Amino acid sequence: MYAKVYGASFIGIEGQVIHVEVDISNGLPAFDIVGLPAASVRESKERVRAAIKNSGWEFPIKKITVNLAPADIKKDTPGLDLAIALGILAADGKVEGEKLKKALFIGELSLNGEVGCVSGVLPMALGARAFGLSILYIGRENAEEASLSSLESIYGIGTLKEVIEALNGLHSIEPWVKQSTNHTISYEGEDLSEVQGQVVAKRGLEIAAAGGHNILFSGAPGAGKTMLAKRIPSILPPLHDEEALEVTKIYSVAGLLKEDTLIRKRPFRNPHHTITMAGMVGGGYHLTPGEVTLAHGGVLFLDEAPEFKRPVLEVLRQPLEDKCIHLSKATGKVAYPSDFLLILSMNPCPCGNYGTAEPCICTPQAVQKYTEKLSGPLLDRIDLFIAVEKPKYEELVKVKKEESSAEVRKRVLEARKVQYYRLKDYGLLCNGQMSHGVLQKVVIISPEGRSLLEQVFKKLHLSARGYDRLIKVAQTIADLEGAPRVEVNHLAEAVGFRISLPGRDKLSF
Amino acid sequence: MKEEEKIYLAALQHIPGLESSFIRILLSYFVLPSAIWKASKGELEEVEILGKRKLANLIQARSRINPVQIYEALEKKKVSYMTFEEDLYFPLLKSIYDPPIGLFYKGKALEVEKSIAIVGARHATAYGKNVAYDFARQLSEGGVIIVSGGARGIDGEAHRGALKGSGKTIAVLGCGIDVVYPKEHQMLFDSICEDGMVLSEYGLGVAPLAYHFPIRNRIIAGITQGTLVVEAAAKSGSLITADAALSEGRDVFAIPGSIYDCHAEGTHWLLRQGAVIVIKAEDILGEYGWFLEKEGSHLKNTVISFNKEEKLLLQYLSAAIPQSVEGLLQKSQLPLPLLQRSLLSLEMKGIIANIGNQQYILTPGR
Repeated sequence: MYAKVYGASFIGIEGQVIHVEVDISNGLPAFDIVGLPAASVRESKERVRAAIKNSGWEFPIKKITVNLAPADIKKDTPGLDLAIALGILAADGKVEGEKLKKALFIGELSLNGEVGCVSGVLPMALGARAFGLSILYIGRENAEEASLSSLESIYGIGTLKEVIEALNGLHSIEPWVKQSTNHTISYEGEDLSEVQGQVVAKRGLEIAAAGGHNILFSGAPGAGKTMLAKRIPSILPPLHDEEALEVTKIYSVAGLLKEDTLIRKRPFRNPHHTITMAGMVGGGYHLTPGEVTLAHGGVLFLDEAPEFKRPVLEVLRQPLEDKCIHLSKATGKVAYPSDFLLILSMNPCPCGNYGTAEPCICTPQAVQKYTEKLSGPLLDRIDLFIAVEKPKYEELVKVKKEESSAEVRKRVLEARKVQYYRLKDYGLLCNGQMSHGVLQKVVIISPEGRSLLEQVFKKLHLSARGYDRLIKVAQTIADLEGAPRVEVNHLAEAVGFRISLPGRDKLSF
Repeated sequence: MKEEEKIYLAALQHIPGLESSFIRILLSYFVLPSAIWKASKGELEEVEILGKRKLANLIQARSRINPVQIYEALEKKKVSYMTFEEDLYFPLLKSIYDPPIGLFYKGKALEVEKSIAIVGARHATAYGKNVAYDFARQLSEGGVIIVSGGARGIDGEAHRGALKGSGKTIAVLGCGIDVVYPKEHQMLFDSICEDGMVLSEYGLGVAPLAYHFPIRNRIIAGITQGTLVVEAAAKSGSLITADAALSEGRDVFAIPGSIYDCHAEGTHWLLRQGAVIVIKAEDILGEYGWFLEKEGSHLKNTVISFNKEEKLLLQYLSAAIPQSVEGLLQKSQLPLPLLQRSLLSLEMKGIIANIGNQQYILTPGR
């Protein structure tokens, strides 16, 4: 006898419907699963066998062949257990085949027949929708996540027996009702108003958020770099639905979805500097997403940037350039999205005191060696340099009312709107993404501004890239002001945010 | 000395371990450098003070080195050579206890009438660098030749200041003339050679070994009438130069620093020991009765005009302590965009410099 059931798997963050075909014929008893099953799927055999038996049905002692089609994709999820078990029972005549054809079945089986939860549910549910299926049977714990996909009918089940009886018409299951409502996101504990003073730094954050500019923080330990970095997600425009869905899919696949709601807050990733290459870009046997993907739609914060291993920093170039990362292993190839705002932080010198009231005890060579750890190409991606100073005592005790993130976010959103209209014909969303060519076409600079640019270029020994960066940032400053073109003021302020690392400038200082 | 003898003398200076004092002793025995070169082992052994090791060195090196080849190499590298006897040789240097028997040099041979050495720590603060540059420039404009060691930090700034002034400065190296140390001063040395000179007691190819520097410091102190120590930590090599100056009866000047700054410990110690305290370039000029040939030449800068905001900021900026943008913002209470614009304007005018990490400092004399 033959039966076919729909199950699902996922590659990267895209779900894939799997046709689980089961054939039972006479012959020496055997149970084989073919179609590139990974270890987790090969082990299904034992789970399925025990689950069927413990649910009260006999496991057929015949030649059973299970084929997972398409046969050229590797399947790596225990969520196919349910579909395989149902397929076997259907082929054995124990379950009605008709109902099976219209639904998708996802669930890991425990030995006593309980249906457990798996990761990657959202992508798989979305994959089912794209395939044309509208009914999903899934473990109760996964039902809420599955409902984020807006599939028509989702049935949350507890045991294998339950599903079978429901399919055979013995009882009905109530369709799952989506429980979560859209929460308003609160940024309490991560609000800009909690930072006292730091006017220049906050201005830098606003510019970075408005134009999508990568940042390098430099300051002594304890100056507040991490505190400032953590508040950037609160002033970025909120994720719109498509972005939210994509971020949720990523976290689902990585097994990191904490609540079964759509992720609405922009992610903030802060990996320790001992992270490996695989941890940063993703990989490993299961091709799990790395930090660059987990930061997609949000912020990747590298604290103590010079302490990261060089190869780990270098590997950031592809995601920064292409906004995605291609992973290729023996187990398969996958492309993950990785569009994030990069924030680096470092001390000004090894002892941390350069430019502070405490004396700096570093030799010039030591300073140079330390600042040189960040390669030129990486620094080229940084548009804004923000020096952060330790707050003075008077500032700490001041009880001045500081602007909240919401107020800043308003301005950021306005600036983003302007950029969207200017850049939409080029397929870009913000100034930070502008290439040299686009810059030339869309940025309008006043004549006085052009003459200042020339002076600055010569006097400050700017490179061509540095020149472009200055214009990009100036454009964002102009957009925040709502100015029709880039003026001298905007350029002057942008120059103030240029990279100035001790030991790296051409000055003899 | 005949040209031929010069060749042998230059070759003798290329023998490792054979310092000027020993060459002098050998000359007292053999009179001519060529004679030293051609002397037999037996004859050399009679110079007991030489010692077994130096004798062995000398004999071994003699067979290895070809004096003519050395002279040709010098010519090829455009290195000139002056011996102790020549008119070119610095008069004040002749009178020190152990003057170099010969000097290799590049650039223009300078006639030294008024000269001051400016030395200090390699690891200098922005304040020290400012002072070195400023004073070197002013003194140099006053017709004083600035002598220093071509090292990082204070030395480098002193040379640069002198270059901005009259352009005449002398760099005394602790390695061979053809060895560029530190590497990043290649261009600086080239600039110095345009109107000044780079010289060394050491032969071609000699590396900048640590023990060479105290030895070369005697030359810096010896050429000049006085030595100005700009900034020195407690154990700085520039204190050795000051010591050499004192031994030769030259003047020692020092610049005071912040009493909290460890970088000024050495200079403050010198002042306690009786070095002349200097807070203006005129303090040095006055000591010798030299006066600025061009009055107010360094006052050219004040013809620049400043607007209201720039004037306000200039009050808070200092040539000694770097100021951050955040700090200036609080002190001046100017709106941030206006502050940035004014800082940029001052930077473009060359009045202030960004020393890294968005810290600004006044740069007098630049």
